[in-house]
Amino acid sequence: MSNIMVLDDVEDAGAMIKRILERKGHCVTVFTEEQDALEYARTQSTDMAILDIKLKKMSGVEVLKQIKEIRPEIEVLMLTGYPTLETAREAMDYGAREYLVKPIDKNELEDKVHSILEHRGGA
Amino acid sequence: MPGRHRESAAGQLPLTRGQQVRSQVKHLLENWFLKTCFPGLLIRKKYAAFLRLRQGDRQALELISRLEEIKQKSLACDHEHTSHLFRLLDQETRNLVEALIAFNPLKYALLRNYHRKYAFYAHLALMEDVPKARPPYVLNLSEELSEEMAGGKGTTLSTLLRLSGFPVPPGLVLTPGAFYLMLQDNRLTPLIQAQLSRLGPQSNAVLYKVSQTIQDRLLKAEMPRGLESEVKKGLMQVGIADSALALRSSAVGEDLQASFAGQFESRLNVAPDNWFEAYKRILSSKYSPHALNYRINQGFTDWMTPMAVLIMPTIQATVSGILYSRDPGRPERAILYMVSGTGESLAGGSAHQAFAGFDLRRRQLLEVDVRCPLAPETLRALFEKGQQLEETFGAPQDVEWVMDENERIFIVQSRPLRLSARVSEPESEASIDYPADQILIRGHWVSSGRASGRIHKLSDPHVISEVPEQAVLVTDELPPELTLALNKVNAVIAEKGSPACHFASVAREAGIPVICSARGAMALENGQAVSLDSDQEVVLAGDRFKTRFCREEDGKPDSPAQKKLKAALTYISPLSLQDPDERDISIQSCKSLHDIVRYVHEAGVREMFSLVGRRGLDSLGAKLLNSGLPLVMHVLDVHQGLTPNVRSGKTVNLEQIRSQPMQQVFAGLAAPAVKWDKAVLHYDWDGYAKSSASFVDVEKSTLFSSYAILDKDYLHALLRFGYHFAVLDTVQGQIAEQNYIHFSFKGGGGNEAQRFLRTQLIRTILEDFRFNVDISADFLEASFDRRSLKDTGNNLCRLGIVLGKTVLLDMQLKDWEQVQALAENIIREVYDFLPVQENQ
Repeated sequence: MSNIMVLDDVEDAGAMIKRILERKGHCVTVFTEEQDALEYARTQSTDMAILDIKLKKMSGVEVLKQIKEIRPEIEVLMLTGYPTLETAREAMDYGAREYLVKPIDKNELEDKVHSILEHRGGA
Repeated sequence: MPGRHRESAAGQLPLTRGQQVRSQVKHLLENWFLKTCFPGLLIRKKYAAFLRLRQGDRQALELISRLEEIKQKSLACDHEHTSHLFRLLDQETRNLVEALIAFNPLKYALLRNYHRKYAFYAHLALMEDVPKARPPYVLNLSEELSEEMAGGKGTTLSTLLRLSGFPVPPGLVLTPGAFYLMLQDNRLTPLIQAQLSRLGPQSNAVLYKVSQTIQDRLLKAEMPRGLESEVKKGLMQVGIADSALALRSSAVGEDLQASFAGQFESRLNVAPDNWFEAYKRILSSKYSPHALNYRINQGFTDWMTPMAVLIMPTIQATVSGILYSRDPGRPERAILYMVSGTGESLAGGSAHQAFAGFDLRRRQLLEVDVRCPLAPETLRALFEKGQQLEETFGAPQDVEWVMDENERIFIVQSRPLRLSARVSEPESEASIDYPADQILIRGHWVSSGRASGRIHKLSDPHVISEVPEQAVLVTDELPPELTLALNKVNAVIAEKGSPACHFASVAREAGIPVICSARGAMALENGQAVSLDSDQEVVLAGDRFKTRFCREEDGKPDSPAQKKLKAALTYISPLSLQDPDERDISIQSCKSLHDIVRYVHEAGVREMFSLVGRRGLDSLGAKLLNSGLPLVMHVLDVHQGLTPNVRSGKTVNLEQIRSQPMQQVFAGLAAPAVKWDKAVLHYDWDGYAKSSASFVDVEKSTLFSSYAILDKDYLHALLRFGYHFAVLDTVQGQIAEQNYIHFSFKGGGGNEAQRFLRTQLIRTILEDFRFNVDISADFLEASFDRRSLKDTGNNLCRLGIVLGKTVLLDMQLKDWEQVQALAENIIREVYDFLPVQENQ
């Protein structure tokens, strides 16, 4: 079981991810506000962050950058409905491990989260 | 945040709720308006979208299969070509999705997101980091350099310069960054990518053109600002500003992952002021036909092998040579090949060289050639250097060396040596004694293996594209251009050449048997069958060896380009909608571009099936069909369904129908087995009875008639025969994959039990004709998909007979036994009229 935080400005999207991952035994905390998520990363033990690219005030890549500054060991999965190769490259450069494009597919989400956490365990 | 779009959970288009509602209302109003006022226009609009679907479907499937073929057969083609094919597929799929959305924007808009998702994943897998021009552009060879900074050769020489005891000349490295700067400042990247995208499998014909176009532009390139002063400063610093210069290639990947032996140019005796011209020559040699061919065959992308260039002083060589720290054929010894003067003729495969061997166990010289210009102690010192190099780099080395007029020896290159041990077939590990009368020619080993084939003599290396597949190539020399033929030929026999030439390294890498010094080879006949056993150093008469067996392709790991394609294909080719039951497939079940293409096809066919409402043909401008049969049918031509001479008039004859599937159905309806009662006219009796339209002339009105929408290879028909109601939607063309017959049947006179028996009757018959049939209550659906033009046509004709027969059976069915007997009768009658084909 891992601690996973999710940041998505659309509440429903976060709730859906929470539902899927909790069934897999993970502990999932969902945020819609960037600052709340960053504060959580700063204060709580977190294995993985799932970050939407389009947020309310910042971009997901900026949040990624800050999370990696606060706690470089947190694995990050980026989430987006409007992927661009440039953003993907930028996110990978800042240390995102994977990229998940909406619409969210349950199996795909489970597989990607599993392989990231497995990689983390093995590293 | 005001003015900023939010994403929905499903990642749909960022429309506000208001925008979404407005868009939905607009679509509904537009459709309602067209359906009510211009139903013909709506049908034509939908049919045009359907045609786009059919064309796009074909093109998309072809592109998918081309990408799969490249992967499965490991076809050699440039990564830019693969990426280009994928971009075409992405565009084609996008067009398909948009064409389907045009049918019904509300129902299909989500498919856009699935296309975007899987196309993005595939793009990401194929994507390469196109590097930006970044300093440093010029480095001193004596610094600690990585391969990314200095290329393969530069890294090796910088390592040796920093270790004591290895005589390496000083020099500069023009980094890969400088290469990118050249491309960027001269805007060459798009041109190179566009040209490379033409290099698909079997693209020998365009290879020379592509090469020439890129090379011409590179040779005309201008000096990037600031580079001149940096180079001049560097030459001063390393003390060679006034020397005759030697410029050598040092590509990333060269010498390390693959030998690239002899693929790129070197320039000797270059005046310091002319360095830029020589530099451009070397950069352009990256795009020579044989270097392109070699890189592509090795599975490297262009960006993976950027070019660094070394600038060193030219050493005025009295003797030059190549040292193998282990003889590739006999690893227990080391071997030296040498020529007088510079080593170009030796590496270029044209020289007759002197050689010397060295026993590695006893540390003593062996077999020193009488022509050898070096003293024994110099030879021994060189062999010892070879062993030190092998220890330094941890692998056998292929070393280029030169001796100047002061008898000083310099190492100018050291690369890993590919040891291709002499391979023998298991049953013949010991040396084979071939009968002397079968030996045509003897030569010297260059690369191991045994192969047979027909002789193709190559007198001019420039006509290499004409070398036939599976030939045994006979040449005078072994120039590097021969690498262009390596993926085609079974073996190579040369009159001259040397095991130390660049081509030899590449042949060993490719596992092609080669011998050199085969005197008399050029006297062999073109087309003559011969066999080469290069380990035994003999050419034999006849076709002795079934296959070339030194190939290392089996079990070979995927090349970088193959890995990229393989990763991309996981989002392109899997088909999870294997056998889509129309009611089960959903947009959400699409997991690849292939799924999306399949979904669009199925959904498009479904949309056409429900093309026109039951009362929809009233003001379409449809024409009444004179078929000679007692049924009222109107036809509407949406493209080429009627012969061109039909322009005006309200009626049309059967002969004027160009639509193949329509002709097939009518051939069935008019078959002798169908006994029409000319006194009874067939139209929608039920509808007519229920309506109050007793004033309507049923023979002219479309209200209760059957109708057909026609194109040359398309028919959409609503059939109202008495109390029957059937929809037929079919494509019958040249491309089997696109053909289908979808048929549904409902109603009929009689009570519920009789209607049930009728659908059972039709089911029994259609299943005999290989239709897939589904029944729910008295509603029957049947389909016959992806069959040839002929099979589809035959079944349309059979369907016509069945329709005609069953119309006349309205009230007669009583029990199951009667159904069975009737079905057998009808099937027999149909086969009497149209016998079953062997391939059905």
